[in-house]
Amino acid sequence: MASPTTLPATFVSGAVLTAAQLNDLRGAFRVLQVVTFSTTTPGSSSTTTMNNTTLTATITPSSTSSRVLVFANHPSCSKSGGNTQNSIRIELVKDVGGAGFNSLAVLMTNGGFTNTSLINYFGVAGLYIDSPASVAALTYKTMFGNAVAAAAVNVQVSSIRSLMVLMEIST
Amino acid sequence: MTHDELKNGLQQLGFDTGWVVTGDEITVWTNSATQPTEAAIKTAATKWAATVAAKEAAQVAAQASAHTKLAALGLTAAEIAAL
Repeated sequence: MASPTTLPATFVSGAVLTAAQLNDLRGAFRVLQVVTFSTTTPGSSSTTTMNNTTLTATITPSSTSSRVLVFANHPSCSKSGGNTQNSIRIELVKDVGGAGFNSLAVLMTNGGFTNTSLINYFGVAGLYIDSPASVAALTYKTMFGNAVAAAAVNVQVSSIRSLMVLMEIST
Repeated sequence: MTHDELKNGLQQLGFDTGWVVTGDEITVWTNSATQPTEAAIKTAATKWAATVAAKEAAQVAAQASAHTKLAALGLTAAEIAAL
């Protein structure tokens, strides 16, 4: 992939760029591909173990130098009543070529916590910039769990759509 | 059974931990107790819905009663609405 890092530090007046340099400029900092996925499948959990929210998307970078910008949005989450301590934890995880999922970032912890038994509705949105250094298929997904294994925490409440966007950015 | 029926039914039955419901099915069950039958969950969900409806109806009735009592004290509708 073209890269601005291979360009000279400066150009002088009258310089004629080579084809390689022009290609580097052409390929620099562009959005090379966009992948989106959405889900309306509701999920509820009363365990601390992280489980799938069903929001997942896969992208295969065209270059090892590319970065992947991940947007994940869960606009309709809640914690149920019945327990004062329950709250949601949402993580972004990634699999590289089927090798297994690893956590990349915590998008929210203690979400919806009120220290009361009130029901609480809220949204969770997260960003992550990844440097995968890979051209294998990368699968990103969000997982959620209950902070205290009590009552329930919920995603896609009322089947409100959650969205994930993956962008491959050239560097 | 719907997602909400499963979730609410399990909580109505007292299962406050050890389960995950994804869409319209129980996808994780780690509670030490035996997983209840669909019929038991369905019955509990109906009870949950009835309890919620009764609570809401009681609140509406209490508000109406309060309005009536405030009106009897001489408050206008605008004054009651401003409370």
